[in-house]
Amino acid sequence: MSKTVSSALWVTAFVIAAAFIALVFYIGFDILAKGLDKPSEWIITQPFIILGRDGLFVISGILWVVGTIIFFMELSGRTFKGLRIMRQIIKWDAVDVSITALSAAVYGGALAATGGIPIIPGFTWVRPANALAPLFGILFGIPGALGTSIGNFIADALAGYLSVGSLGGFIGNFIIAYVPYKLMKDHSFRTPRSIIEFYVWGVLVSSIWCSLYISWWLDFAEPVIGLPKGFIWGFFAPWVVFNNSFITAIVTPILGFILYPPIKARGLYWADRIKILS
Amino acid sequence: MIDQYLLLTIIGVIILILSIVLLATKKKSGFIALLIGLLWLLTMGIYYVFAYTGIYKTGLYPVANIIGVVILIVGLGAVLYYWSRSSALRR
Repeated sequence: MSKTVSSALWVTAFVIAAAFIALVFYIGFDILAKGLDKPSEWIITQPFIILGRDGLFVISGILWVVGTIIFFMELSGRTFKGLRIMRQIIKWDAVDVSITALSAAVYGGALAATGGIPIIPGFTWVRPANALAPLFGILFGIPGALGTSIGNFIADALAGYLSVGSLGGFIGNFIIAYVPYKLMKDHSFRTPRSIIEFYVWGVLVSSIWCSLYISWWLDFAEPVIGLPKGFIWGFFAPWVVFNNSFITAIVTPILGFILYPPIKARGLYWADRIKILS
Repeated sequence: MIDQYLLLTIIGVIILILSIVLLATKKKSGFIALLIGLLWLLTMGIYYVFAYTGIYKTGLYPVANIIGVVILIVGLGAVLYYWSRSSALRR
């Protein structure tokens, strides 16, 4: 590749990264300016208002079914390669089990450590540790993604948010880690492609999918959980998109850039441990 | 009305039983299922202890934050221990 093309790609990657970071800051300032008590006026809520509860329920229902199938499929040793379903071998040896347990401890502990700053009492709080979820997926694959699921579940209990809604959070957090793990082709955070892929899959798609997944579950289980539907789609869902994407857009690429080489060097990077069979 | 915490506990027990069955049939995925089951039930244990001691009502914070920080430190400590050990093994 010529030096000019390479430079142009780097400029493009930085422009995209800067645009994402500027967007999440803009959304954050917009929320602060309009007030936490006026979610219907937030700019991030507008797409949810346009689609309406019924439209969102249908779209999110599809994403919920797909996400749930993927979760159980991956745990049963099958995965996607392109559009084909293939068998994969995860050893689930001491290393993989340790990765899951340690990811759960670090993610759950970090979430609970900031658990006293509620946004929607009983359902969500300010979560800077969210930066770790896509990182664990990108670096450790399925064991890391499963660790984020368990960590989120533990944090829900510690922060007083445990309910049947936590089942949605369990797989929703798996999705945050799974989407960049599976859909990014370059996990190194060292190439323009890797950075662009991260912002598309790791920030945008995973945040929206996670939010819609949990929101659909809260809506579906409303008779048991009791959160009003208007609150779910008009406050909870847009807030979760913002809460996930804000910290992820800023912190995760830095952590990924620092941690990728030592993880890879020690043979803990998922691609060096998982075998996909044709 | 369904007792949602009883439901979550039953799910944890089912995962644990499933893991024992997998381990008994010498499936390696039994280890990860066992880990999920144990941590799931540990979580339910945390919930019941907090609920019955009234911590959720009388003042969850900073108790939860302190426990969170302790889990984080233990987790990071274990990562560093594992890290140094894997370096030693590679030499």
